[in-house]
Amino acid sequence: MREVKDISKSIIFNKKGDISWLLSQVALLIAVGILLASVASLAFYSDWRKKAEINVIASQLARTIEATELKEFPERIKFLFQDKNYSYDIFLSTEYITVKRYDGKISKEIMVKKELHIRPWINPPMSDEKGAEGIYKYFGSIYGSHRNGASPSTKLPSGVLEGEIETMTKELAINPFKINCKKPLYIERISIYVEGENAESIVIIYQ
Amino acid sequence: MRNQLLLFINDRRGVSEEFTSLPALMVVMIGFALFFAMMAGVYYQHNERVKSLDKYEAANFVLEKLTSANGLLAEKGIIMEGGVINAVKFNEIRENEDKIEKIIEESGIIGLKFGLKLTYWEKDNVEEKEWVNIPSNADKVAASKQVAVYLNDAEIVPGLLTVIVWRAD
Repeated sequence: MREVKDISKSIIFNKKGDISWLLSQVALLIAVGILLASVASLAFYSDWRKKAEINVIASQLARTIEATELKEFPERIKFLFQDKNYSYDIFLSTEYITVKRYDGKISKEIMVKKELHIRPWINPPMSDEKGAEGIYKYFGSIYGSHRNGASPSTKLPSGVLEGEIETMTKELAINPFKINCKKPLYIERISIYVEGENAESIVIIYQ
Repeated sequence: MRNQLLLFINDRRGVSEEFTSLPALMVVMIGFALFFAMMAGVYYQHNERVKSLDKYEAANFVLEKLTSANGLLAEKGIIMEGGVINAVKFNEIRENEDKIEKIIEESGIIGLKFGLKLTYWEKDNVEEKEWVNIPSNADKVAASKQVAVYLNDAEIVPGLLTVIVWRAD
């Protein structure tokens, strides 16, 4: 007991400054450690890079869809998704492209949303064939081939297209269309002739 | 003075010994701080650039969509055959908010609102005509295109069509 008292006394009244030196060095080490750790976590362990990666995918797709909208004539574009060393999902709803990946460090799911400035017709009903022909056949199977909307002489009854698109909007609001990234995505500009109106141009997206 | 300095240097008691690493550490820390301030600045600027590029892309998209040969402005008669802007029609619509509202609605462009501005040279005067719906305080971007402007049957003058785009709230 006496010895302990002696030691503590010698620490406090010691004038050589050894302990003071040691304490300040330790404090400095801790401070530098915290600083380096925070910098390293920002640079290597945060998700902003991963977010930026999927942001590129989303904007590429958005740009392609908008470019299709600007085409003057009906045309089909085949959009292929790049193979990445991570897995990602793409969802389409009427107003947004959502890209998700699930390997985030802070929260598992990283999500990027991209706004579309137009309203494409996503995953339209098609029978037999894909693309414009499929849609004309689908309308043909309901309203007869003389009213399938494929040409000025076979115009679609008015209101039908609006109805279809409204149904799609409602469905997509609940279940966004999930794209299979292994398969190509087709973005097509089609014209549908509707009674009492000019040809309606619309962008359809399907796989 | 000199004596005191010598005393400080020659002092063997080691009172100031523990602070010898501080100057070097300070330099390193300032260096670090500067480096990261720079990195943060570059990142911020890059982000801003990407954002503004996005906005300009949107403005350009709106401009291209409106002025295409079978676009909405052609349908409304503002763009005549050959891509000539009809100034008479333009000015008619310019001051009518209901018509403007309708055009924006019919354009099929979602999430954005837009206004048009037509600049042309008439007898050495620069005329600037703007749609009345353009707000003064919103965050706007613009894209322009050189056009020919039809004033009357005798006069077609060069001009500039600008689309001003802002976010609909």
